Amino acid sequence: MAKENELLFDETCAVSADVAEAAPAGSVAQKKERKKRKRWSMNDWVLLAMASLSVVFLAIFAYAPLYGLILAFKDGDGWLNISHAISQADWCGFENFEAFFSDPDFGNIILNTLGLNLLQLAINFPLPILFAVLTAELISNRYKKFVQTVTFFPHFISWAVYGGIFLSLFALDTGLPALLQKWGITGDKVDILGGPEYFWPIIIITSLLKGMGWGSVIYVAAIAAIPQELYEAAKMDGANRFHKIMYITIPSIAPTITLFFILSVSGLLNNGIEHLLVFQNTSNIERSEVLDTYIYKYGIPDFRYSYATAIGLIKSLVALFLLVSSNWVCKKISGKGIY
Amino acid sequence: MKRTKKSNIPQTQPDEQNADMVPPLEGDVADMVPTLDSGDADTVSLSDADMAAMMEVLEEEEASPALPVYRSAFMRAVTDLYSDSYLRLKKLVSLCVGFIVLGVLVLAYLSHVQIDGGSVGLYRTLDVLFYVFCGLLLPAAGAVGGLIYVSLARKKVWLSRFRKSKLNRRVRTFDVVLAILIGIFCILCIYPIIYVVAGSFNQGADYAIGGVWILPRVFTFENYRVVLEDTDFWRSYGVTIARTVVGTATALVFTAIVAYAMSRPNLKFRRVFYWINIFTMFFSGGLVPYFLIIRSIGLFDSFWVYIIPGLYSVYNMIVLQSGFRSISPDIHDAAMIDGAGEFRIFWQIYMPLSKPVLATIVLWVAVGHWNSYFDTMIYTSSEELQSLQYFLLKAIQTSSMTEGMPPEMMERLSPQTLALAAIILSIIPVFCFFPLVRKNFASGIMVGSLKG
Repeated sequence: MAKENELLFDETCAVSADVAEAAPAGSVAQKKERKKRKRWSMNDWVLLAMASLSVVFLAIFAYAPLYGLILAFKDGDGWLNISHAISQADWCGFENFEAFFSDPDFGNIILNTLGLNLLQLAINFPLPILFAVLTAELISNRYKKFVQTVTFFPHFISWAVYGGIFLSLFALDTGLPALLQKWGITGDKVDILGGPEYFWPIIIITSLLKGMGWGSVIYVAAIAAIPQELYEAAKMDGANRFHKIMYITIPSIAPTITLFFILSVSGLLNNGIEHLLVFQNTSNIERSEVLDTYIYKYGIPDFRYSYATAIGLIKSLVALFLLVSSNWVCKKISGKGIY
Repeated sequence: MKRTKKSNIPQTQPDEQNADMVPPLEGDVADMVPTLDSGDADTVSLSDADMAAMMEVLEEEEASPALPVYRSAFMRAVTDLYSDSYLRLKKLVSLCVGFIVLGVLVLAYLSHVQIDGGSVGLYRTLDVLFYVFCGLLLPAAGAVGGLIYVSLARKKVWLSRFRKSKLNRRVRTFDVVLAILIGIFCILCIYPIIYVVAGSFNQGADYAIGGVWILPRVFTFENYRVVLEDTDFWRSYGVTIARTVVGTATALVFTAIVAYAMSRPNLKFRRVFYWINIFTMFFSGGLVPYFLIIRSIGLFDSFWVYIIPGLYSVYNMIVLQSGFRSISPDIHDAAMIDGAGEFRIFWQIYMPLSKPVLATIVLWVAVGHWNSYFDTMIYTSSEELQSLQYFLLKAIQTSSMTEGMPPEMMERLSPQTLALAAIILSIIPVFCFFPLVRKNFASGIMVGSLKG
């Protein structure tokens, strides 16, 4: 198993390295070979057809939407047919973008999007790592397995259900607020679900409870791959448990941490919309409206296609910029990026 | 056989000065026996994997000194470290005892709780059942005692053969605190589910007073009965099952076909294909253009909107591709020489050989299908296409399940408890598949480590 694991691991590393390095080196040989046999065999065609399936799919579901980005510069609000909207609507330049920047909600939306995401980056990113390191320290293997099973389970339940359960747990008359009042901790019933100031904590805590076990999987795997000899050698040298964590475990899983850090930074404008929509309501909208929900709200039910497309375009561009720059920074610091 | 001799040194022999420089052979044996004295409640019980490791060690030591002689054949059988009769016995006993204890607890609770619409006869039956189970506790205690006796005997045999491991750690305060902290987190994780179970078995009107936290106060099956009679619920259940099964199967085949082609070094224009795929991961058009595409190709409000856009994902393709690449190219060459075409090699050789990776992808895709509700919200408008999760969300947020009910039923039911019962019914399939997930977990980790 372990050997297979390593093999797979090496292979993936090879994927990017393969494409990046092997191709220029082998290009001379390839050219020669291409000249030698001009006719393709049947198998070449078969492979080409198989790979082309992805091109067909992506052309429709990934590249055609890119063409639809033209809408951001057109006055296409309310058109139902995209080709009509693109070809017949009037150009309007950057009006849609200006409309968004001058929207009174603009400041709030940006604050919520960034605030929630930075909080998640500060809390929900490091905690799974800590959790993985700590579970690895548990003595009993059986308890370890039990812990993993239990903490994974919420991952397999949808946000509609898991969030929905919290909706009834925090319900004003039957849930936690009533209990807190009964115990005398709070004077009045605290409207947890309705209060804007509670929205961020709810999101952070629920995503921790649901995602921490699953988020730690990758680090658990990375820790399991660390050779035991390192720990034994460290023990001989008189290292205690915290030394071992600080000087062996953490440095060994650092590449994995880097990778996931890049990925989470590039998702800085993405909020899990399925998560937020469960808890969002009209009374906490001030703190719960983020870019994703705003785009959805204006784009789909309100038919303001151009306006929402413009905001989506800004979001995609910022995400691309974040990905490239965080990758650049990580390359500078640790010498390893994702591409 | 130096090892045999070494490992039979009695426990009492002082070799403290050797402790720091454990001889490699001893360390070897000690490694094989990790659970011994590792702080578990019953130290001698070994998991199957440990047994297997132990057997491997033992196989080399057939000539080791005789076991202590026991009088009964039964004791000899269960204390024999080579056979698994002890494990079987232990499994049987713990199953029976667990059943009895669970029965006692459930009945002790049921016979003291108010049951919605319960008659005197029902209460009496429950009482009788409770006493019957209490009576069964005695033989159960006997069985547990016997098991402890047997395991002590086994421990003796074990210690006569192997030294205690020197590498085992002592339990420190840190370990205990850590275990407790993690235990608390586990309870927090799983508590919402317990709360739902309690609420779903509670009578609606009583639930509305509040204070149902761990166990139902007025026990009833009525919530489940009402939910099970709800045709909307079943329709959305059917939609979700259909989209999960069809969607997962088609996505798997489609993605695997592309992944195979991408994994072949002899694919023409490989770099072009690679960048066409990778670019879509970096930059996307966003929600609205995507939605308009779905509309204009006629997928809006049809069942296929669940299936077709999910056919392919670049990320899964990359994972599958690395799985295919780990298969030795010699196999491919051999099949080529035997005259198989690329597609045949893919379907008949590569697919069966990459089952672990495929299982992981199936897991991801199936969970995604089962749990998503946003696509129902955006891409469909008719009730018939409502997916289960969206139905549940509506039931929780807007209490849609009690709409149009006669008032005499409304008095007894509350929309919340109905929603909770529906939630439990929706989780059951996940519960059934979860052990499978656990089993495939090793492969899941393997594929997971690919990302790194």
